[in-house]
Amino acid sequence: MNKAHLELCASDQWAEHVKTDVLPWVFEAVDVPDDLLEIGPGPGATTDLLRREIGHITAVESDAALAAQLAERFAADPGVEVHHADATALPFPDGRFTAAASFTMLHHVPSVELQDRLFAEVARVLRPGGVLFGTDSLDGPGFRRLHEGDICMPLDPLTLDDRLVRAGFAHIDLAVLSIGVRFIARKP
Amino acid sequence: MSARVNESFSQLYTSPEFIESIDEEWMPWLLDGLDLGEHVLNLIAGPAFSVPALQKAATGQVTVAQLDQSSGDPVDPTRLPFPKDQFSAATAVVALHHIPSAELQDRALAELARVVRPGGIVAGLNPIDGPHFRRMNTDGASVPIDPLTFAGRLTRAGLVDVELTVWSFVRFAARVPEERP
Repeated sequence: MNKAHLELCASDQWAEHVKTDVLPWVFEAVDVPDDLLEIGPGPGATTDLLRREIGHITAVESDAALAAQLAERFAADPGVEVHHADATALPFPDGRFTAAASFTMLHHVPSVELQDRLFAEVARVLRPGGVLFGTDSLDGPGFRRLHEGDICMPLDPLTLDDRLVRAGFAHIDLAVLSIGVRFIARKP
Repeated sequence: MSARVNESFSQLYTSPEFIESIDEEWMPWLLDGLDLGEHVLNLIAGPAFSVPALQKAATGQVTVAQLDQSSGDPVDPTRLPFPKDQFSAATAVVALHHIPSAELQDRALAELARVVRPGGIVAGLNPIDGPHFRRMNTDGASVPIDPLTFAGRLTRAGLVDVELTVWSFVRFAARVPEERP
């Protein structure tokens, strides 16, 4: 991530947006789980807010520095376990989780193929009936400026349904608001 | 019927930031690769922010049809005052959501398909529902358009070759079939 972008994701303004707009939108459509795999928390704005509601969070962050910061921040909290790992090759057994989530992160995964591999990998670590949910941002000129010099591969809301099905999910529920695309998908 | 553009939307549509992003970013994105032909109908609702960029890009004449009831002589988008096949293309740039129901929007799309000649283009931009949209839509007079179902609505309006791209605005472009059913 470039510096301005990282600053935005770590800012109070972003945390407020997540709290006011993003999470309420998601949790009006999906139950709050007791145990969650969070993919790509970055600076952890979502992790902080989710932890208020969720007993145990396993956070997987591929950026070593961000993972180390997050692990340090939650060092005294047994309810948050941070792994520095690549979400296309998760260090967990099949069926370990009942719920997995990713918030405004998937556009940082550098190709459609890797995003699809990530979806399939999440499907692997979910048990049958488990749910993947989350959001990603919408593309646009302003969004591209923010990601100048960075990876920027936002999900296309119009192809996401098929991609989640191919990754092994069913009962796909998509919605689009200006704040992004929301996806809810179940492992059969 | 006519549309009602409230004060919040009017203020947005006349703000320099909005006009600049329409001119510099969104209109070029919309019009890229579209052949609008010699006579374009541009449906607008309220301030005419889309007109300069369209006039600049269009190779022919631009006819503007105003939907907003507070602007003098509005047209009824469900009964456009133009004969069949009058235009080579039609555009609706950040306008259709001011038509106050999905059913009336669908009738307006069918009307655009009627007044554009076979092979001509119907294209535009739609804003997306969300916190910002809801803050402006205090009177509920505006009905946002869901991008996930819009391709089907264009098809049902009689259009073909539907292209839809969901960015922070939704771009649509479709064609009146060479042979009308």
